[in-house]
Amino acid sequence: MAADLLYGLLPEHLLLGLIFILMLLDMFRANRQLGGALFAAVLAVGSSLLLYQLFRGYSIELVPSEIVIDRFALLGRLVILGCGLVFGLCSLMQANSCKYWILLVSSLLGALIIMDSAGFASLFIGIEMLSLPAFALMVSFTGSAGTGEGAFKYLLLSSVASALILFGISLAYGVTGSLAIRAFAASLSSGGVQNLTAAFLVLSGFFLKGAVFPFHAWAPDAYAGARLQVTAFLASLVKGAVVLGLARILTSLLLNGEIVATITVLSLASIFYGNIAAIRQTTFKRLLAYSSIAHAGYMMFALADSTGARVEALLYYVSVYALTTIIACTCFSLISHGEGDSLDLLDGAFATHPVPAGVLALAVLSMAGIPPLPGFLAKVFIFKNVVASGLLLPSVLAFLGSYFGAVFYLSVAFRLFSTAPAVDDATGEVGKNTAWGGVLLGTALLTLFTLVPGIFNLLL
Amino acid sequence: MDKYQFLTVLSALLFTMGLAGVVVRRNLLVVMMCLEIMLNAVVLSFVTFAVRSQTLAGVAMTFFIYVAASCEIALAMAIVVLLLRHRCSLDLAAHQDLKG
Repeated sequence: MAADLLYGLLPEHLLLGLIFILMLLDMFRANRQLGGALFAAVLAVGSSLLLYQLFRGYSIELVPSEIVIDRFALLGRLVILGCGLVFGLCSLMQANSCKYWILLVSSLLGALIIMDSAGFASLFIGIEMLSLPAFALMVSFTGSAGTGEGAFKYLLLSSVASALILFGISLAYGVTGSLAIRAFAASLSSGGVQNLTAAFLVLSGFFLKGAVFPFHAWAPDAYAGARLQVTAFLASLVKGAVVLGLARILTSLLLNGEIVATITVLSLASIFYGNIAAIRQTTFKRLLAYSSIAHAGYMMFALADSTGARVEALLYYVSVYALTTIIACTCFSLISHGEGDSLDLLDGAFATHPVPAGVLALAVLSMAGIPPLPGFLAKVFIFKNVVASGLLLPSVLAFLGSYFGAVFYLSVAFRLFSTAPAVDDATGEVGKNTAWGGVLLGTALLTLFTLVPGIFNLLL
Repeated sequence: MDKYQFLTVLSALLFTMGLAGVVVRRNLLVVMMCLEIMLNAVVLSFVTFAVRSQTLAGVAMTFFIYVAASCEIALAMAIVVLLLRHRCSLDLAAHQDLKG
């Protein structure tokens, strides 16, 4: 049993060990490049270990009805660690202290725990561990005034979301007398006021954390307040982990009509609102925030379908979206040299920085869902499953909604290739190469996703 | 109404009160206090259900809730200090530079 606990949770143990080592390094004021190198190495080892476990078909119930390692847990953790690795490589170029890496690893550890959880206790611990370091990341290493405000809003709304989820859990616990998600799923199918209230409270908590339409107000402020790097982290990994956590609950449920209707309506509203509100944004981070609201809508939309394929579609969408966001942010910071986040910086950037501008253009086109790119395939999978489960009209509406998205994504691409001469003050930057490594790895992964669209079907 | 029903209703009331407080009140510290009321309502509800169903899972959960709540408060107070340094006011309205 002890060996199983060690082997099954090895990625978590690796991250935990990494946190301790980074703390020691920080204490002895070691070279700060070392922290980033260790981070990349440990995450690469963790991902390859998960791949190995996947191919061996490893699956075990470590703590009955709390920690269960199954295909979803392995794949979800692989997505988190893979995107974390790309993110780490991309942010190596910023002068980061070991504290930055400690907070990042703690947040990733929380995301991994969410993926393993089969009970509400571990799910709650995972969610808290995911978001608490994120607040600290937002406020640390920065002198800007907006940060504190954005971070406070995020902390407040996120804590309210936790409280909503917890109250829902306590109602579910009152019905079943157990914290296992499976027990809740079994009792939810029998209906009842308390069960439905519990389901809606948990659902609204997750929607608040994932910034789906009526609960989205914190996202633009939080994203605009943080540094671009942290914004990329919040928009890609934190959001992805929250959505996958909701998927972890919903996959074991047989959804009833009310819940499907709620998810469908809110995700449609989110798609329309996010895409339309993004059109009038003038800064990159706020654009990213509204686009992430729209993308949260698509991800939740994937959960509305009641066929079995939603997990694959969702994993594909989350990984494509997270990688695209990370790549877009890195390219933007390569173009803007870390100063400001106004979209005007992009005018004519293709002439001065051809490669990052080209990659950024591809990334935004992929987010818009232009055909040969992975973002298009991700949307196709989601729509295919949702249509197959009989929700034809909502799918058509969601498809219409993504047309609005194309407007602002294309305007970003247009800015890049416009002829307005940008004032060029290009100076040599240290550590640019590692960012290129991250972008390259991310692009390679995305190309893999494009070439082998069924990758999660193959693995699952 | 037996005592379990009473306690459940009480916790729901406390939770609603806390939620309303978070939405309505404008003082940073009071907002955090309302958040704590929400979490305490959750704890009350967990303990009530744990006693009623004679299981321990709910009691264990209260422990985790308090740990998470104290972490949140510690971070929130740090951020409040940052905000105070910037604007010398505990009023939420004074910290509205971002447009929402």
